[in-house]
Amino acid sequence: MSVTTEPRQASFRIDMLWTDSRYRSTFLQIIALIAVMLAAFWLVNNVAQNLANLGKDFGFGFMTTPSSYDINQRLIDYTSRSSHSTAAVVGLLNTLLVAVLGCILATFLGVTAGVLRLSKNWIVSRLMTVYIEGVRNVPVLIQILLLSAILDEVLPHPKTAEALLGGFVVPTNRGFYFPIPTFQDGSLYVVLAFIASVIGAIWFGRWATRRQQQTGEHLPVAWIKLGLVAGVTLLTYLVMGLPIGLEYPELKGFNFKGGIYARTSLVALTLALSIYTGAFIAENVRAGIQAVSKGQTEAAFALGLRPSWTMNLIILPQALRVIIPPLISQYLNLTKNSSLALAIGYMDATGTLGGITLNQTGHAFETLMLLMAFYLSISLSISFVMNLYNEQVKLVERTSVAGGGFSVLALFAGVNGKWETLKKGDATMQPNYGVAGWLNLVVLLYGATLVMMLYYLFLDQSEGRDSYYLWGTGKQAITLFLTVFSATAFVTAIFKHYRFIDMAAAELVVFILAVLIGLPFGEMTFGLLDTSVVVFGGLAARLATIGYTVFGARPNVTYFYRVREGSGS
Amino acid sequence: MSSEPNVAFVASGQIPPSAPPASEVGPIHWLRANLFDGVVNSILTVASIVAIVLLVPPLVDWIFIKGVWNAGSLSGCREVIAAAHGEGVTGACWAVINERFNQLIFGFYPSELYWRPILAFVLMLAALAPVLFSTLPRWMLWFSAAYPIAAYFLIWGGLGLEVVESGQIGGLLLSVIIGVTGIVASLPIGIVLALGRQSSMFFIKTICVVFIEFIRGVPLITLLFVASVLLNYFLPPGTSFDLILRVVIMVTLFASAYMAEVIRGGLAALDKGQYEAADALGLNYWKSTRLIILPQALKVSIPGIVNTFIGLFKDTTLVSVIGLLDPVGLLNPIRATAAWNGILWELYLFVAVLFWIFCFSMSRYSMYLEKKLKTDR
Repeated sequence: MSVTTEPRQASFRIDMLWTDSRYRSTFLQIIALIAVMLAAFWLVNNVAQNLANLGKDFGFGFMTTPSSYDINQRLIDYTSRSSHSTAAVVGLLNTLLVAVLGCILATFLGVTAGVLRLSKNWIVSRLMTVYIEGVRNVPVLIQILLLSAILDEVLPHPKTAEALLGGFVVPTNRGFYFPIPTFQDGSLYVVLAFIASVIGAIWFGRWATRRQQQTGEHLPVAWIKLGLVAGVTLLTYLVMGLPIGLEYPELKGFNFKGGIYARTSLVALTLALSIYTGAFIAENVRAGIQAVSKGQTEAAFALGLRPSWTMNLIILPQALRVIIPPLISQYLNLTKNSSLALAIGYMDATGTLGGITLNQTGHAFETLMLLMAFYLSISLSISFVMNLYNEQVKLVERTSVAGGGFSVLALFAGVNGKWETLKKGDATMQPNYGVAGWLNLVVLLYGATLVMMLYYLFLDQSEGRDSYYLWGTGKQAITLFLTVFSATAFVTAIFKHYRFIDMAAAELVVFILAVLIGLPFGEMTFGLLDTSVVVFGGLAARLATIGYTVFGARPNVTYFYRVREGSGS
Repeated sequence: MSSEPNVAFVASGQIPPSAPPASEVGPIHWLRANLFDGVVNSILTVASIVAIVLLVPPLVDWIFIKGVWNAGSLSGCREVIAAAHGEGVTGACWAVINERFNQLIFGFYPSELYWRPILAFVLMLAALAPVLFSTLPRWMLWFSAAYPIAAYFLIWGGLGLEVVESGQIGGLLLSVIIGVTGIVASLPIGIVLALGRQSSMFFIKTICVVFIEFIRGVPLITLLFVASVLLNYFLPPGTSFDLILRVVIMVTLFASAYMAEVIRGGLAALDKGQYEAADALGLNYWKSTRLIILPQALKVSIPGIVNTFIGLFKDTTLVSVIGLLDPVGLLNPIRATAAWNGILWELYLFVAVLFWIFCFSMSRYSMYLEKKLKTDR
């Protein structure tokens, strides 16, 4: 006969809340939750009282009133009679313009300087050190102000200005003038030929990679690609009788007319930001190249690879793994630093939304909220992309667990093999890229949806429709959610990442919600299609993509690296 | 082997090594190896030398030889240069720095009280010493802890010292106040945020992640706008306080998010065995964090903290956008005066060099730390 002893039931004491690990975590979280809620309540209450005392109301209606200020550098149609929201969009586009131009230029400068700093050439590497250390340690605001002041003072008046680089740029103290391409009859074919040859080059690249993995034979891929694109495009250009020309800016009266016009503030800002960020990128590039151990080069040479192949096949893939994450955060810094445009009068998002609109309307709360939301969405999408990239190139180690939390995939895990990222030990090289090709259709679908959503949200101010800022909160929120989920599904599908299906499923749910609250989808397609066609077509397309990717052949989720063969271990 | 009779010749000693060819030693070899190694390198070398020759002598000439240190205005400068070097020659007009030096350093701080910020600065170095150098006696940390209060009264006055208005504080003094306060106050907040982000408690982790990602996602300038126009809305009606204090609060929040990421890097760099060992010793969370984890993680992240400080110190120039008179904010008022209208390079260069000296020496210090930490691990 066995005697079972009940363990003595410990009576609950109040101090067990913070000493016993069974209760401590819950207890602390509840305390934190209460504290945060109290703080939030206090802040919101203060804001409400302060706004009431000042007689201000909270709302975005002011965004639809005429802005009555002029913006001298713009990418879309805008006059001082346009609304504040259009002015904001002009500002946002200007920010993105500086960011894109700056990132390209900064990458060019940074990669050059970083590689040259490692050069054996003593004088060149010293010069690059002087550039990097000199620029990195001076506040970027001073550099922007100085460059802008120099351009204003040094450059000639339009009347005395001369064209440089064979007429390609005319610098004046009013701004820079570049020639603009003009499209005549037949230029469409040139553009089509260009796109087709680019697609052909990509296909050729995939084929060459596959061939190299199977046979070990190496083709001069870059040259063939370049020849393909340039050759086909040039040939069409000649056959069609030179349909694309350049229109050069001409001096008429006191100013230049025609061509592309960039204000000195835009040029100064772009240059200063890219010089500054380029110095940081140079350091990242240098660190990345130095991070690849010397044994890798020696091993490649021992295998008989040529120096150029060693660079392309051995060093760069490993160095990029180190270089790209800090590179992307430098892009992010550049974008955030572009808000300093305010100091030199370039009308970016901070200048329009956070500057003149704020001062004119006095709605500091709403404008700053919108401004922060804009910058936040840029930086969150950039870090989202970066996280996806990091997940892809990460070395798989013993501690790594693929994903966490809920995933739509988990529901279908048993249906048709596994969608897994793999363990390091039992991996072999995956010979091909799975259904990557078919996912491109999904990319196109989400790209088109995204463009339509953005156009519908911010640009289209047609007569029959209220502005986004005047809608009900529910409709605003649903539209924003739909846009955000389209964007995330778009990006993850581009990366051919398995998270794409979760995003697509979430987007489907939001889409159905949007239909339920009666979002007028017909307006989104420029009035070409009936609402019901858009709704049912959209539902069918979304269900098809999700169903296809869940039940069809698996896209290779580990695009770059290695996958486990079979399902057993 | 020793003495074969039929060997014609046996060397009786070692033959001295012959000198290496001239191309393999000395300056010529160095030149060939480092400057003229191949066609591309030779072209690069020649281009660099041409660039240096074209740029450096005129700059030296402009800055030092033709530079003027004593004059009352820009036109005065030009007269001095014209008298010394002939008509039409240009030179740097450093007289503006000479005249406005105190303003660029102290802003509009009353000149008879300059000893107070200077004393505060010297005391700051003394207060930092026990933090930076672990060999100093520990009781000095009490002085470091008391320093912020002393510095406040030294700079703003009170307690029998003459009161100085915030509006009078400017120049480099303001940058140093904002930068140092921001970094010191952000360190504890950053540690808490980093620990919270590592935590397994979902809700606390979420709060920390949202805070960090929000702050890091928006430019500092929007936070400064919040400080200048919005912060008063968040406080009970009728509260209003100094703009510098509001800016310091926002800068502290800004820096603490970056600090949290730096410290999180330190926590992540720590070997997993350290956490497991602390658990195995039976230490609870706070003890293991305080005694095992943080000392090591903070040590690893010191270079990162210094880099954050450099970034923050450079970013203090942004306060000029909301109207505070830091060195950059003083440039336009000086350029707008009748005497110095039209001056450009000298002022910008001076401020740039001022910041460069601070930031460059700090970045060297952080590199030195990095090297030191690498070898002893």
